Amino acid sequence: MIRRICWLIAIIATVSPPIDSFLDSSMSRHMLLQMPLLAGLGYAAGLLWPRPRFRFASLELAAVFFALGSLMFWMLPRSLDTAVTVAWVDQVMHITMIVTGWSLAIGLPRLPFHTKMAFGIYALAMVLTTGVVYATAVVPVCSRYTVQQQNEAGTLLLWIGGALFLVLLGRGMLLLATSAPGTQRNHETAA
Amino acid sequence: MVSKLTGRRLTRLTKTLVPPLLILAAWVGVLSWWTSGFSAFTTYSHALRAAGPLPRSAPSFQIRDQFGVLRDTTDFNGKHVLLQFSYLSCGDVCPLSMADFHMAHMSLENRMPDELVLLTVSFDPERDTTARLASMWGHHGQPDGWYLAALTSPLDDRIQADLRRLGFWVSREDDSLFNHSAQAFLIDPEGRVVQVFEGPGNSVRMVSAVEERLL
Repeated sequence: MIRRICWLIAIIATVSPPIDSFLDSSMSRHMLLQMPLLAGLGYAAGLLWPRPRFRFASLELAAVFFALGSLMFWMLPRSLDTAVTVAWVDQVMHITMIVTGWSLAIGLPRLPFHTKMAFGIYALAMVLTTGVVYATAVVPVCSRYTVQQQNEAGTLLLWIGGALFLVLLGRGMLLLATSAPGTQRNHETAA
Repeated sequence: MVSKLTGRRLTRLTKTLVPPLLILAAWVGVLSWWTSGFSAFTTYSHALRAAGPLPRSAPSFQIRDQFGVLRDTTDFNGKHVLLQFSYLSCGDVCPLSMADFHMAHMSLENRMPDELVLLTVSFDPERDTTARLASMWGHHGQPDGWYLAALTSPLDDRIQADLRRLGFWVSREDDSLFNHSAQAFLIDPEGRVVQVFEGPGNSVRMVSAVEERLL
């Protein structure tokens, strides 16, 4: 019960006007702090409340597809601009990011390891591509932020992409190590 | 027996594939709608697509040039016009765009001002006075046929609407800075936008396009 109340307080705090304005005022804070924070809170909701049990595994895949589509949509420069400019779009973004996190919480754990890796590699490509665009553009790509803020957000995205690459590499190597002849563990254990 | 098994497999396959495919199709639809068919990912490019296909009629603007002369942009009808919008206090993209015009002028000097004019219009008339425009013109070597001008009135809804019809997006920020597109428009002697150059670094393309049209 206390955890759920804390979760609710965290959600209200993140989207409350003064904190929301503060997070929206910089591209890095908006894209790399507020959005992951809301997605993280959505993921936490998936752990705090009983998760729905789907009859078909493909619904979990659909949940992950929803999450990836949502992340792709809100990483578009025009979407970021509109979320900063139009209040109701900002609210839609908040709700979507929470649902995105929740979708990942109900979808990811039940997917096989190889599918998780495929999504991980896709996410890595998305993060790195966006990072390169934002870090190297000499003209504003997002109309609501300065070129400096854009370059800073791009550089941070590249660092995040690097970290994600190391995580995926580590998981892949762990799988190889555990599936080598003579080892007792199998793929599922590694996953 | 075989057909029963096949039927079960088909049902299972359908139940497995349909939910993810529906979600995928929904996102493809949303993203396609939002980006005008995967062609406009930024606010700037979306404004340009929303203005419609080329060629399209260019709206007219009341301007005051670096000599203090009041003009209408339609005064240049009968010549090709390379038009860009900027403001002199801009710290990032405007100097790059103006550098493009500087380079274009060096290559097209012999065509100007009889066949072609370059027109840089500021949307910040309060700060970009005639004296300031003349000073910037001097900084670029007083090029003949390059008009540096400012709108005669500050940005209002009517001007914003005209700029949107052109395909240009601009928004005034609280700190008196402007967020804006960085395009140059090639307007033909009939007053139609015939080509758009997106972003700075386009001087070579501008020169080629003008030379092609003036052959």
